[in-house]
Amino acid sequence: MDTVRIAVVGAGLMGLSTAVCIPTLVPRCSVTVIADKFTPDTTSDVAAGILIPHAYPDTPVHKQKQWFRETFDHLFSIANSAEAGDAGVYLVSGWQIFRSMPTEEVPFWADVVLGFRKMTEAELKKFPQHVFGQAFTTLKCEGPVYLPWLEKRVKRSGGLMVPQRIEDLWELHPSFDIVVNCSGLGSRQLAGDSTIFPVRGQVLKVQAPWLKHFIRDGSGLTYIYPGTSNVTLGGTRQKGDWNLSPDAEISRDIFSRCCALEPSLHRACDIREKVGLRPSRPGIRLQKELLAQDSRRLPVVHHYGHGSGGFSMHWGTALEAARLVNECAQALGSPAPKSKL
Amino acid sequence: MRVVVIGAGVIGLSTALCIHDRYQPVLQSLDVRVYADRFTPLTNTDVAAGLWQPYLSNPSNPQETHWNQQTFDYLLSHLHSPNAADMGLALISGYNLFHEAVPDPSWKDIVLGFRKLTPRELDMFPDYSYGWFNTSLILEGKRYLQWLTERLTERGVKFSQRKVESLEEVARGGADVIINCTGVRAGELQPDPMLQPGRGQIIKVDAPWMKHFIVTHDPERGIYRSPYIIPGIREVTLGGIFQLGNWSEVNNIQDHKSIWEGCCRLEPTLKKAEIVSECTGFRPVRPQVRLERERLRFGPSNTELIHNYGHGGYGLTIHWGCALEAAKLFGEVLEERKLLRMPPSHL
Repeated sequence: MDTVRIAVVGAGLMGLSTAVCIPTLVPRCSVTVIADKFTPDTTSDVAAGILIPHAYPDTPVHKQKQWFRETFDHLFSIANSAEAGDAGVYLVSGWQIFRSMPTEEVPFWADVVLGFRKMTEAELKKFPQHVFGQAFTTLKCEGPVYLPWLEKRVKRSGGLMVPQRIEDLWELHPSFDIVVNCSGLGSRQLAGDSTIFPVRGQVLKVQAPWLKHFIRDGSGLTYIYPGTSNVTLGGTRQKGDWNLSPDAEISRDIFSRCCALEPSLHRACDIREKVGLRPSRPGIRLQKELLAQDSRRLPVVHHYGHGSGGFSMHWGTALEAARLVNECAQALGSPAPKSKL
Repeated sequence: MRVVVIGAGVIGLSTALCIHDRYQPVLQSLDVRVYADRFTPLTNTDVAAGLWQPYLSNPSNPQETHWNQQTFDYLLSHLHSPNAADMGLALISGYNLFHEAVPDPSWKDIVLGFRKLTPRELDMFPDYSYGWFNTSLILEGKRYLQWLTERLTERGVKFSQRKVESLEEVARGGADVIINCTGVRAGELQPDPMLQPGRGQIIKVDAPWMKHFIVTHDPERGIYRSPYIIPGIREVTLGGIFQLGNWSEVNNIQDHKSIWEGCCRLEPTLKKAEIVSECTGFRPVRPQVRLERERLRFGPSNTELIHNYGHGGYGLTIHWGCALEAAKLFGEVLEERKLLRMPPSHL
């Protein structure tokens, strides 16, 4: 059988991790990643990359837990290896705190992270406005370091990176046999999906190297995530807002909310603003679709719509996307019955 | 009332600050001076990694447990101010690792969130089979000494760089009370066979992805002789050397290898870390802290002496409790001399 030619549309976290997984599952294939934006200009580069899952109403909980566990275990072994620095993956401990008792004191992912427990009274004293909290150790996966590392892995297994904006998936026919759509918000156009919409997130990246713990308000709106070269302060959740320019008023508000949780931040310096549009959807779309137009056929695997939970789920969903690609590849191998004249 | 503090490490400077703030309001004539031959960054405090953590076993003097607690509480109360980073103070969580199960330490309820390690956490450290996780504090020696120096300077405390050859010289120079915070070299002023140097060597590296301390323990080798990795505000301290009686100030290549290999084995990501500096320091080791009064007689006058030295490897951990105790002893001196007086009210 000829080499299966696979195009991955999108070079963010989903595109690159799927491009890494595909050759491990699909025999004899070539992978080409095509995107208008590459790191450091993708949405994935803005995210802090902390592994705390976001709950998807339309995706079954057991699936979310499976994908989170696969992602966590995969990154955990990288964090404990000599590659950790090159991959930008490391452990971080901290607290998720609530102003009122949460309906779920123990979330579905509690046994995936390390050392999950309720905060003690003494620990809660640090947060006088909050009445309950969870302490645990999780992983942080830094986009601007992890994405280039993934790109290297793609190239090492023979993959190509092509900077090009795709307006229509049919542009990839007949050069490619299978298309993997990891275009995030681009799927509104490329897949005609009106259920995906941006949730605008503005963050600040500041210098505050003395901060060693993450702090996240249970609402998910205010958070402090210490990184290797800066601390991410957030954030916002503005549904349907496509504006990529930072807003000064919002920056002041983010800074003020974070300082309220961590007063030492008043001494933070070198404050930079960034905006990302989360590709939000009621559920992650992981689905095969056979596009048909006249006599043309184009198998597509959709892998997008992770909203706030991209980093937390990426490896699990990339593995599943690669499995779907393999199913498409197998189907290509068995030719459709042809009519005989 | 002239008070001379000898020594400008964490003990000397914190004691000077504690005494000044407690008694200046009620003793207008209080004049506090600090004499030292070495100031930051050349003191032993500057070499310390700065992790708040007492020894595992109970101290022979139960007061030390109380002083450790007072210090933790004092530092914790400063965490909420914007000044925390200026002081070199930050919260830090991390791992204590053992080869076998051990009893919980006496300080388990002083630190925050103390618990045992789970099996998955222990999987990260294949050489160890048991351990603890807790949240403690970092107090970086160098930054803290700079902060203390700024606070003392604001209060008009004078610093004098000099090598004090004898207590008598200071007494005859006009000191009413001498606070002896000379640390590991206290024996030069007054022989103390119980005081010995516990030489330590550390490597500072650039490893900003390290967010936890990792301290290993090997009861056969003894405290501080097993690898430890302690992130500071900017750099990470690697250590694991403790040599009693060794006065060599020079960095030793064998010790370097031992630290580097031990720490890289413990945390393989360190292999890519860049070395920033390496230094040697001397823990002032003593069976217990010497914190007591002594009265000296040189000629016709009495000079009060308060000793505050011998804090081993836990000086930063215990410093504020000891400063408070030294201040209390100083208060006794003032009472005996009937010097305590409220400031006059204004009509």
